Amino acid sequence: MTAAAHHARSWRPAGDGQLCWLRVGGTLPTHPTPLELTGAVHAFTYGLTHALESLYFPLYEIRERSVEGQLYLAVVPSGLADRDIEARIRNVNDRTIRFRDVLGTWRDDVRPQVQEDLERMAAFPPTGVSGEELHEAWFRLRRIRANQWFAPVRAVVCPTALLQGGVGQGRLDEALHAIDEFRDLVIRKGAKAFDDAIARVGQHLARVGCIDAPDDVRWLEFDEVSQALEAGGGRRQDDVARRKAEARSSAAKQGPDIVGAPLIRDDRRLFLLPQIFALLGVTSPL
Amino acid sequence: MTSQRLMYLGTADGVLELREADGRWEHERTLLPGKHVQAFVAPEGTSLMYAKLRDGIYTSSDRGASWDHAFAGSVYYLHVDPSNPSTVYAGMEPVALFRSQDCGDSWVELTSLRRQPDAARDKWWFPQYPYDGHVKSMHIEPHDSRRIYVAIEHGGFLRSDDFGVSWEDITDGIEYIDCHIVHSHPTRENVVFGGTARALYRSEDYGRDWVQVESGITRDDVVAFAVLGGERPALFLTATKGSPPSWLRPTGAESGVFRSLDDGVSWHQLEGGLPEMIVRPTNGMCADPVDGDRVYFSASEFMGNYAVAGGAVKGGEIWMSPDRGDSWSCVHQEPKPIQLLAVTRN
Repeated sequence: MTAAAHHARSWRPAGDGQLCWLRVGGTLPTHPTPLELTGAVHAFTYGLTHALESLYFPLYEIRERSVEGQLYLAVVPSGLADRDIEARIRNVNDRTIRFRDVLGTWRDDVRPQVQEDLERMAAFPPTGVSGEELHEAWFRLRRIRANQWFAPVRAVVCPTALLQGGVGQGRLDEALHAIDEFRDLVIRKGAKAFDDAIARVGQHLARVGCIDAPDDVRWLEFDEVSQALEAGGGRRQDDVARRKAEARSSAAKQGPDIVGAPLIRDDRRLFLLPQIFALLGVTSPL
Repeated sequence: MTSQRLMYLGTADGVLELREADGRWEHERTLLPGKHVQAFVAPEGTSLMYAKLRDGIYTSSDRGASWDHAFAGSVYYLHVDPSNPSTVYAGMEPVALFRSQDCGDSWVELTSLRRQPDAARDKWWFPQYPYDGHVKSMHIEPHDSRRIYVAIEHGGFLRSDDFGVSWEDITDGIEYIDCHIVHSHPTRENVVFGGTARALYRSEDYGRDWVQVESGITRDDVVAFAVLGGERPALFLTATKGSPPSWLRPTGAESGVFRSLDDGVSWHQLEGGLPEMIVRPTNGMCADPVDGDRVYFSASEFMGNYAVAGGAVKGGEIWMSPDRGDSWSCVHQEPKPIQLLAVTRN
């Protein structure tokens, strides 16, 4: 094999322009602010992606994007999975053997973690710490929220979707009971805890003069908040005003259900995703 | 005849030291009895020993007669510079790297590794609570200690060319970044191999760009790597089908041993006495320090959360090839699960 042949097979994930983008809503904001997109939505896709890849679902990632102010998600193909997509799907079964007692796993293992993460979010931001430590705590906050999605999606949501699809011997009624508790704790209380933490960051940044009002923090991106926390300020109100104006101009728009490449409904890369989105309360064209 | 080599097996009850005698490996003594030893290095030509336990790194300067708790903390990985046995590294969870240049007496953090940009650090993660990535393994160029590779599980590969002062994320081209092992070619330093939970990757430019090795490896989770030098280097790896939860299946880990004789471009599963599918997961591999044709690997009951094959196999086994992988025999069976394998010159 020549070196040139080697380089021909170096893998890179597909770019945004190659993907089929699905307009989503429900659990997720239809018109996310910059901080919703880069904070809460990124945490959602991070947790969902890691759960799916951990279970051998045949995709590389779930990617988020704002198109004219509206939220879209795309399934990014996996080079590894595409080589033998049916073998990959068969592996999903092996990977979920340990989660067959969905309700027991939820109550014994996952729910305590999710509750602990709620307490961690409630303790944010730490007081009396340096800018660097605030930066780190902010970085960790989004990760905590992502982990709140990861663990139950892997151990509860995906196994329930498998049971709905007739795979495995677990009890579907018990699994759906776990889903109800997951929705209350992760979707409702988790979102509120994360949002409350952001509100407290807004108060902090308004106090140091970075933004005019606490709620303006929602018009900054996650990394911009990070920089402001580390630097102890830095005026950002011009960005806020510009983005608010852009959002006003796109607020009334209703974008197409699908942007980019056409949706292939029987694409095996979408294995169980309609059921998983439904269990997560995410509306989509799937 | 005096044995030329010693074998060390890490267990939950200390490190077993075995001495080879008439083709058999006899138990000589147990180091750190009662301790769960997860990593162990006994550098050749010295009285030094390093061990990683749950609460940090222990060192001995008298071949294990006495031990000092040299480094406390959440150490995940221990590595000794192959060209300088007094230089030892502690890879941490969450990701961080410390180094001692005085046999563990004092330690300094190589802070630039931990202080990667947020975009790189965002990839550092692990699918078990508390979900922090860790330093899974390292490779130091045997002839140039300035060049250091780190594998982060999950998170990617990093390389330093300046003895750990600065680090470059070299993960581009790796799809699933559950990175397990990184190792350079024995004679072509620019050729580097990266083993992940889903594939083996090969780079010809020190890891700047990776290409998945597609030829001949019929397992996905790359676990261990070893090289035999010489005019025609032989590269070896062990891999399992899927990672730990999958090993619950009745056929267990379905481990295989693979060899490449063309610098890692193509690989072939080895037979020569090996089962086609090894039920136990393989977890260690090393070259013999005396005989340039000998190579060993270990396979063992898993010491994590998941019983292999539903608990059908217990303990561990050591396999050895005397002829660069052409033939193999099981040279030692151990009732205890084995976590690490090392062979040193006596």
